[in-house]
Amino acid sequence: MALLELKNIDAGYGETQVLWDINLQADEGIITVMLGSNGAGKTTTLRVTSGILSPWKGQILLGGEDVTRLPAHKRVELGIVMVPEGRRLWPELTVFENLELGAYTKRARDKFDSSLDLVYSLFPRLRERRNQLAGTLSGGEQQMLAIGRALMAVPRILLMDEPSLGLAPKLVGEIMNVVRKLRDDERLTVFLVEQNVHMSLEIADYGYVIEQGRIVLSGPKEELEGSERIKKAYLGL
Amino acid sequence: MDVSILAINLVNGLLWGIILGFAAVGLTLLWGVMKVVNLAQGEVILMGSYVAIILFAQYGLSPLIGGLVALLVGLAAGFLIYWALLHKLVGKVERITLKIEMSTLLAMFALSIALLNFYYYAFGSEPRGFGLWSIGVPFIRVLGTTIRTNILLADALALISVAVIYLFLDRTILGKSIRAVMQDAQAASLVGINPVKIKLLTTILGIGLTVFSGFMVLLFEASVTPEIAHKYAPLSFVVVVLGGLGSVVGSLVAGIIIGIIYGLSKVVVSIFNPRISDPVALSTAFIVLILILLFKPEGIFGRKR
Repeated sequence: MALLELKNIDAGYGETQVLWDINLQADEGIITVMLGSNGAGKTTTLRVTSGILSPWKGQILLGGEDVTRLPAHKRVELGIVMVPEGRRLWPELTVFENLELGAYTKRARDKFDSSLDLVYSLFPRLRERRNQLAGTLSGGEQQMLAIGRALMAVPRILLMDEPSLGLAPKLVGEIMNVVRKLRDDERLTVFLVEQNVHMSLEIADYGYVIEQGRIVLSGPKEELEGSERIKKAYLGL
Repeated sequence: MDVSILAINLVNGLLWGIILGFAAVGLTLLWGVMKVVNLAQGEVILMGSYVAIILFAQYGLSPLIGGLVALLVGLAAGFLIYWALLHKLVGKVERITLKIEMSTLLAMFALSIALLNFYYYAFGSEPRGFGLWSIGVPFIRVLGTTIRTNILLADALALISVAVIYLFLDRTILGKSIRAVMQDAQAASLVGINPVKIKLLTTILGIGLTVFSGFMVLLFEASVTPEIAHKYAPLSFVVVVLGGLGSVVGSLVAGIIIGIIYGLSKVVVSIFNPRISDPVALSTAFIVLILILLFKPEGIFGRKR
């Protein structure tokens, strides 16, 4: 069952078109990844999906409902929640305040206690540091907080923009384990964009490859892993 | 110099600085959250003074009621200013660019001219005030000098207001949302915060507090003329820069510092030439501004950008 669908999306900035006729879907309860190199249009795809950027053309559907015209904060109410590129925490608020504001919507506030338990059990470090200012955390901890804040919003679909960026390999593994755990234990739907092909194919169930703003390849994980194109272009095999 | 004169001026500087700090709280919020530089700061302050004066002189209402009405009028004015002037410029934009900043600055400048001329038209250039009104005794003696009780009332109200607004921003979800939008508006919309709602709320609060401070300014000064806008507006800007953009506590502390510096330089200059003491004291405040911009541009409580 497709939870999220992008249909015929064109988008860009100013005069520059970045996305060309993007069609994709993220099915319920699995991890869908979008692979591509820098500047291929991954972040733009997520910005359009989260509502930060309006597409020039096309439709975005959540559970069959058209959300194309809704601003970002309204989409959060419906359950489209993004962990943005560069984490975008509020550095002068404490860890706890960042999490608290994650549960800003009425829907999320009703589940505040259980969400907080989940976040603290996934990232015990955040509980230890709850009174520390977010700006004083290490890069890995900031990524944990960014994911934690998004989980506080009780996502129906979690959008993740390069969670591995700038993290040490060991931390990347930790973050990926958490994403896997969210799928297996919480039945969370995840749509993740990554440059790190190795790592993302490891946890993905289904994937798309984007090149120069166009989707050039898609299929279940096994199919992508076997693809000559991926081996050549991304895995250096 | 006589030590008691020094002490008196320190105390006066402190008492005035608290008012000055509170008067700049609205400015620091609007600037910090929305990058709106309120060039009508002085005239917006005066709105509160004149509302209380009209109610007192025309309708015989107690200045205490006048002060409360001034606050309500200020909140309403914030609502109107947002929808009439600011929404089109900053409401739906994700990042406030320099160009937008200049547009809001001009809009507020237009408001300042309109208000100033309205004050001259409606109230003239004569000093207006509450006359001999005071709660209880008009004066009390402290340290061998007399202080008007109205000044103490103004300071008490200012301190209470600063405490309330600080707690609001620090403890409530709405207050935290305002701080979140100040630090990263896009991240705020990604957790479901409606940026337009926060900007509207900030304007209502910022303008409302500024208008309310006009009541304290009037209590402190005993009487006002439209001209007083040109004293409080520039000093408010110095206070905001010294305190750090968006910092309420910074604003109060900076107000006290500027109040004391202003008071002290006035005393020193008076020894040589009393007639120029006011302008020289104002210049001293601006020398402080230049020094901050050179050596600590983020202010005392501001964060580095």
